[in-house]
Amino acid sequence: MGQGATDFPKSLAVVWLPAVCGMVVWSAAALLPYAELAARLHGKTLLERGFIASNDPENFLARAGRVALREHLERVRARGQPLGSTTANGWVWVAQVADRLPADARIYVNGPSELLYYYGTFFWMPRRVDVNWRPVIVHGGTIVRSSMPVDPERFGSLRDYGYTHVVAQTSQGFRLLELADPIATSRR
Amino acid sequence: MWRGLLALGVLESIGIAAVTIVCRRQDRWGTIATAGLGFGVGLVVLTLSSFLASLCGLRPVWWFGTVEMLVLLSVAVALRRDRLRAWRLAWPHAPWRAEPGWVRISEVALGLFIVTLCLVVSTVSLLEPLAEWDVIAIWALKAKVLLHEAIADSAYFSDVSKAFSHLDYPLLWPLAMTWVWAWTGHAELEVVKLLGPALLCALLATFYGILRRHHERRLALLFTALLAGVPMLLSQTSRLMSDPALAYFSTGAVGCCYVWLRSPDTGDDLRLAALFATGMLFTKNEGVGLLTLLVVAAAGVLLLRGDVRRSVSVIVWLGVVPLLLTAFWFVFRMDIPKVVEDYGGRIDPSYAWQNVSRLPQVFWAAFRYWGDFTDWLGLWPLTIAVVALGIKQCLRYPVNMLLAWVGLSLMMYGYVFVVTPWDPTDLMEVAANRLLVHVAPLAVLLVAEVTASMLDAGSDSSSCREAGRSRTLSRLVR
Repeated sequence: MGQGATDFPKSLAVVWLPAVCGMVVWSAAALLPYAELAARLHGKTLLERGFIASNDPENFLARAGRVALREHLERVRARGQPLGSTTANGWVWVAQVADRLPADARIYVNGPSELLYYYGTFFWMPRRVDVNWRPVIVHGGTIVRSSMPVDPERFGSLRDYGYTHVVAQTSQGFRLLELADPIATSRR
Repeated sequence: MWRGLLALGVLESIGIAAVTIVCRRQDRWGTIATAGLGFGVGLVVLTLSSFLASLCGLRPVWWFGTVEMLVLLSVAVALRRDRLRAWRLAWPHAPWRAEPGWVRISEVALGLFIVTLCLVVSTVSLLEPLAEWDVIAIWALKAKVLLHEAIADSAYFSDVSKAFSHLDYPLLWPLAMTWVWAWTGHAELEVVKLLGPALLCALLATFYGILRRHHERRLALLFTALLAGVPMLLSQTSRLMSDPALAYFSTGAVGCCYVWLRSPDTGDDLRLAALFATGMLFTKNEGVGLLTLLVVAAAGVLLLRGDVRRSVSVIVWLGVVPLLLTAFWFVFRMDIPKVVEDYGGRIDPSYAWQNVSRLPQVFWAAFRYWGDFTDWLGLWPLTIAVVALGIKQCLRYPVNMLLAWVGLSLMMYGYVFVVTPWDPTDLMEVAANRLLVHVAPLAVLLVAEVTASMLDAGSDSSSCREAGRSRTLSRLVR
């Protein structure tokens, strides 16, 4: 290694080493957003921290590596439009529901919501979560055609397939309905 | 929290015991590097054995790894008693060269910078519960499956309605989460995040140890600080993504192989590289490609020198041994339906030919991610500048192995975006920077090696660990 010192122009060290050191010094600036985020998270409940952690417009960690997303958020901010996060709201809602579901529940996600299906499968495990009562392939590219939304008036039929709860994304937000409760079902 | 710390303590002890068994001359690595290497080797040993136990119907339990730790520690003490004693005797008398004041001050400043960065990132990581989309939908989901049921009894791996979680993705990182949850008793969302800071510290300690083997402390600290400050690495580690885990195993495998190429007098470093290569295969599917490139690069540069015997050693230790150690996983994986993407099946050049029109699109889009200051500061432009300006050093043995691996890895990821079944622009938005994380530590190592060459602080340095070890051993012999 040492024998090749002359191949790399030594005069470049004047530029080169300050550039490397400058990068190290500049990276110290990364401490500031981390410290600021730590201050925001400190003293909050688990659900509040989960909301902050999942909130991509507000949390730089949630949008790390996403160049186009950051540009999009900048454009929205520049227009003065409000920035909300479906993911953050979904995280909180799914985590909350996990405590309310009975251990033997079986949940039907009524609609092609990746968030509800993916997060529900994790948070509500070992309870079974489906978007279709038939065995279908589900991934990001197929969720719309794989899911089988059921008309609310026919929710009772899901009981025949062994489901105890239905989850849906409505204009008022996410809803959890217990199929065992015929009154709730008929009202819906 | 203390249960999580105990889980990590057992994991680290397993790794250090295994490193002690594998290495005949552990004193070469030093305490910091041994701790860093121990985490990775511990992960490989613990998760592979947990996988086999789960295949046999055993659900994860805290005592399984604890028994493993006790057995390995006993074997390590029995096999390496003399070496451990010599190391213990030598340690307090490690040579300390008189350095100018500014050198000592800069070393302390760099050390403090790295420690502060780790502490701040760890604090945030532990305050945030699991929240990253991919972690919840893929890695933590698999971990929860493995916590609730043994693989032998699980229907998950053939359930195509859960194909969104990529059923065929390897299980090292999920099994690491399962290990922490086996101690906490349930799949909680916070203590498991301890794995993130532990991984970050282990990666930096290993990287520092690799540089320190042949360079002075200040150079090793400067480039470890450079790596520690890369925002993309910090964010992904903090969020418990699996990409930094693969980056860590790649760093260990390529770095230990590089160290072995420079000082091949024992097989210790090659054996360590083999264990880290095993981790690459069991962490992410990309690990298969990255390891293949390592074997090609290392065996290739040796063949160019006419060293057939050592190139065969590379093929055996980095090609055959990791495959044998993960054979159960690959046999099991053959039966898992691959419905989302199968890049292994797209190596066929006809796919590339069909999608050749995407090449300019992928090529120009790549600069958008390489040049992104928010995620990388100036790491990639810096690497390109180093390669361009120091091309002669880059082509010289064994730095040419690093250059070949970094270059081929970037080309492989470019190829992935060309043949992907998804829209390449959409895929690059979510995946490009994450894939670059796998290569980033080795790019920094390449920059460090060329810089060291420029500063003439290379292998003849009198204060690197190799030189220090020689002095210590000669004193012990006297």
